[in-house]
Amino acid sequence: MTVKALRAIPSGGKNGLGAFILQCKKLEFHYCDWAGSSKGMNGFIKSLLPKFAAANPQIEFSISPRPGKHPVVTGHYINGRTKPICVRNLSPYEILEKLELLRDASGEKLKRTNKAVTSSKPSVRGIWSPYHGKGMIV
Amino acid sequence: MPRIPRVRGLQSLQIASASSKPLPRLPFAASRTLSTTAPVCDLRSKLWKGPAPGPEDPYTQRPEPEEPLSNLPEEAISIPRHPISVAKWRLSLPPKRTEATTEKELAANDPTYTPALTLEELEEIPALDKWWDQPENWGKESEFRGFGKAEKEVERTIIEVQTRRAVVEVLSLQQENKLAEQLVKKWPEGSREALEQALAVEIVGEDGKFSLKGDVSSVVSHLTQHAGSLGEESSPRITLEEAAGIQEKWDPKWKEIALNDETKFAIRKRIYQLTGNMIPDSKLGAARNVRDVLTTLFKQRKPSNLAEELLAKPEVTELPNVRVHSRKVGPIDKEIEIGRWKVIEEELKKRGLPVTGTDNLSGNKEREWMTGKA
Repeated sequence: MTVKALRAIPSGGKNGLGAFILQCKKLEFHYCDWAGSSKGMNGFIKSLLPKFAAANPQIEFSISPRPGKHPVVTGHYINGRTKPICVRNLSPYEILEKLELLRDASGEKLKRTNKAVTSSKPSVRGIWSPYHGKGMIV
Repeated sequence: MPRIPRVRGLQSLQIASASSKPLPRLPFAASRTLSTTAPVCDLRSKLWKGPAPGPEDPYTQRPEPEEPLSNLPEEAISIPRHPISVAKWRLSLPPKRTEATTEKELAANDPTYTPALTLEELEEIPALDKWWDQPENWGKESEFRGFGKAEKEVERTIIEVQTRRAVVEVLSLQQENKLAEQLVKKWPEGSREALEQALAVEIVGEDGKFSLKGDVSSVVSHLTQHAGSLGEESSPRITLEEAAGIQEKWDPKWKEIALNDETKFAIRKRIYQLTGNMIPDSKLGAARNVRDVLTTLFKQRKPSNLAEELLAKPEVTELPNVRVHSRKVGPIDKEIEIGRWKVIEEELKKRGLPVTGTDNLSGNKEREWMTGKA
């Protein structure tokens, strides 16, 4: 059962509180039993992953071997996108940082934000400015 | 032109030697006997301070073969070099080289003989160098039968019960003064009855002094009877519940029994035979009592891979949002998970396409172009 975004804010309002859904729905861990580049990853899976998984019950965790390949963590998001990160030769705590990044990401493609306001539905009339037009008579 | 006018040029050595008259040669032995007899004796008397060893003239006389000296005790020499089982082997050896009788001889001996006219009629005989590759030339006696149990016992309670049995057996043999002679022999694995009798014997005592209480003589008689007379018996199996039930009755002090080298060796051998667990020499040397032996036997087996280790951890398996796969998750596994694989399989079969692989068709050419392989 895939996670879907809420279509409506739950009754009672609460000013949108409780309507938040984590965008990351699944994290996949691939490791190799033999290769040295997976050393940190194997240590992470053994020691830190159980705590991380217990702290994030809304994310599905899948751990599977991929022999002869570098270790990879892939995030799956509710917008259908995936974000794979190669964690070869990283230490367990470095991997934990990458994992927090994946968990908190929206799943959107990374965009440069060089405008003060970003909107998914830009106004037809543009943003209001006091220096343009006739101005308001007070 | 040669620098020295009188020399016409260097003749090769071969030509020079060929031109000289060959000397008449004596046979080797004759020349030896002629030339060396007297001087050798002188030389040997000078070389050796005392009487010289070996024959008088070692160059002409052969030394008499001496019986190899052995520092082994007489009992050890009298033991046959091969065990009975090896001596009894009757492997079918390759036949000796014989010459086939000619057609004429065969026709004279056997009037019904008709030579083969086609290739199929000829009897096919494999080459001699393939003799040992053919399974029919190997008998049942050639199959490997190890001394120790093939599959290792991992359950602690069962190991403890078998150790107790070994200890009781060794102590009862010691009590009857039969341990030294039985030490090198293979003890029969014994029937269920023998196992129960050994476990029924109580170990009583304190402060390092222990004695056996029960039917010791029957335990000894089970061990000392010839293994062959019983036939090949596999050791009786004990279930985990049974073992736990038996173990409860014991006084834990029995583990304090001190062991010497002889008993340690016997117990190790018996445990290996009954459970397949071999105690390494270094660990056995350090063991002082039965408790030490049990501790070395209870060593946890190292998990062979990460998945195995994770699946043994309750803090991972109890989490509802974590799934551990023991093997690679491929594209088919992903399709199976969402329930689409059976549809794909059906459609592929309907179209007469291979379900997995490329059958006899060439692979994905386009992918090779893209990855730069072709």
